[in-house]
This record gives sequence, structure tokens and C-alpha cells, in this order.
Amino acid sequence: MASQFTMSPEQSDLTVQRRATLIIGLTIAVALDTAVQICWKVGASDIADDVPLWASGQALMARPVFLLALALMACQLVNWLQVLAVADLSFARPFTSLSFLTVSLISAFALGEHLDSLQIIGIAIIIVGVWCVSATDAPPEDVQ
Amino acid sequence: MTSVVLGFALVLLSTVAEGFAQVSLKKSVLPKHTRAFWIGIAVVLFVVEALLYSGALRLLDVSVAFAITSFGVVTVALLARWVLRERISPMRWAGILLILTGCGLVTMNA
Repeated sequence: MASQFTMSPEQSDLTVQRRATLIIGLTIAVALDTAVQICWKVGASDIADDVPLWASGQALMARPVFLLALALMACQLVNWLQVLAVADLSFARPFTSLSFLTVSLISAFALGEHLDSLQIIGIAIIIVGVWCVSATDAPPEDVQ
Repeated sequence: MTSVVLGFALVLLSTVAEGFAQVSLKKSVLPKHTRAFWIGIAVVLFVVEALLYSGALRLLDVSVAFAITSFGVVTVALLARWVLRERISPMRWAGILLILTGCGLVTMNA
């Protein structure tokens, strides 16, 4: 991440700490989001979609992988609050789109799904987009 | 209204629910805001988002619905600008629009 900070020297320790929190928090956020989506994909893959919404919800609740997804979502919430404490929402949220990339790659390598050339171009565009966002100022108003 | 248009509208509505949920989470960490209250609002809105999305999946192909969810990154940015008064530079908007395009391409044929 290449956020440009213009801080006085006495603020630099705080800045380093905030930046470390941000990098670690965003990495954990993407990892957890990826894990939740993979759990969801595995857990919901063979549930029939012609049954009522309530019935498919009950079928999901009975699966350990879905309960694991719920636990991961709780961890996600706790981690996300740490991230939002040190960054603007419009800065942090775009990074979570990296999970589109990680889920596609895991689906391709672990679940044996095919990646076509359009998807590979899409992955490259996501990376450029995230780089653009990372080049903007991250901190919320109180440290700008 | 055809089922496809309704499905499309439901997914877009789910991204709006996510946007307000994210704004609530951000409010929960701001000074002078009641943390538990805003987290509670956010959790309710995330449930609403999940229900709207589940409803949409009955009307749309899962790959199409998933592709539309990438609009969430734009919805959240617009609400952050509108409700939280965050300043979003042209560079950040460019990044957000590139991410939207990339996510659309990744999910379209998934």
C-alpha cells in the first residue's frame, strides 16, 4: 500500500501504528471474506433452489460449514471495526473486493473451476483499481 | 415487471442495505456515537441484505446476481460521501470504478 502521509515527525509513531493496523486489518478482512464465501459456496452448493426460502434457510442452518461461516462473519465484524477506526469507509471497503480475486483463484486451483481470459483480465483490472485506491489518503478526518 | 428486472432491482437494493450497514458500522467507531446502537442497526441491515439477495437468487442466475453485487463498492462510496461527508478524490473514484469493472468481468462467466 502506498498511502501518502504528510505528518510532522512527532506524529510519525502514531502514523506507523495506524498504517500497520490498517494493513493487517485489511489483509485479515480479505482472508475472512474469502473463507466465508468458500464456506458458503461449499455449504449451499447442493441445496435445492425450488424449495421455499425458509426451508432452504433451515437446511443451511443444519450444516456445520454454515455455522463455521457464521463464526467467521462474527470475527469479520470485530476485525472490520478495527479497520474502520483508522480509515475512511470509502478507502477500506474497496479493498474487500480483493476477495472476488481470491475466491476466483481458490475456485480455480482448489475446486477445479475454469478461469477464462475475460476473468483473468478482470482480476488484473481489480488489482489496478485497488492500487489506485491505496494511493489515496487513508486516515479519517481527525488525523488528516 | 419481468422477473429478471425484479431480480436486478432486489440485488441493487441489497447493495443499498449493505451501504447503510457499513455507514452504521463506521458511525459506531466515531466519537459521540453510541457504539452498541449503531452495531445493532448494522447487523439488522446485513440480515435485510441477505434476505433481499436470497430473494433475488430465485429470479436470477447466481453468476448474474453475484456480478451485480459488485455495485456494492460504488453504493458504499456514494453513501460514505453523502452520509459521512467523506472526501473522495478522483483517484479513489477511478480505483472504485476499475474495481467495479474488474469484479463484473470476473463474476460474469463464473
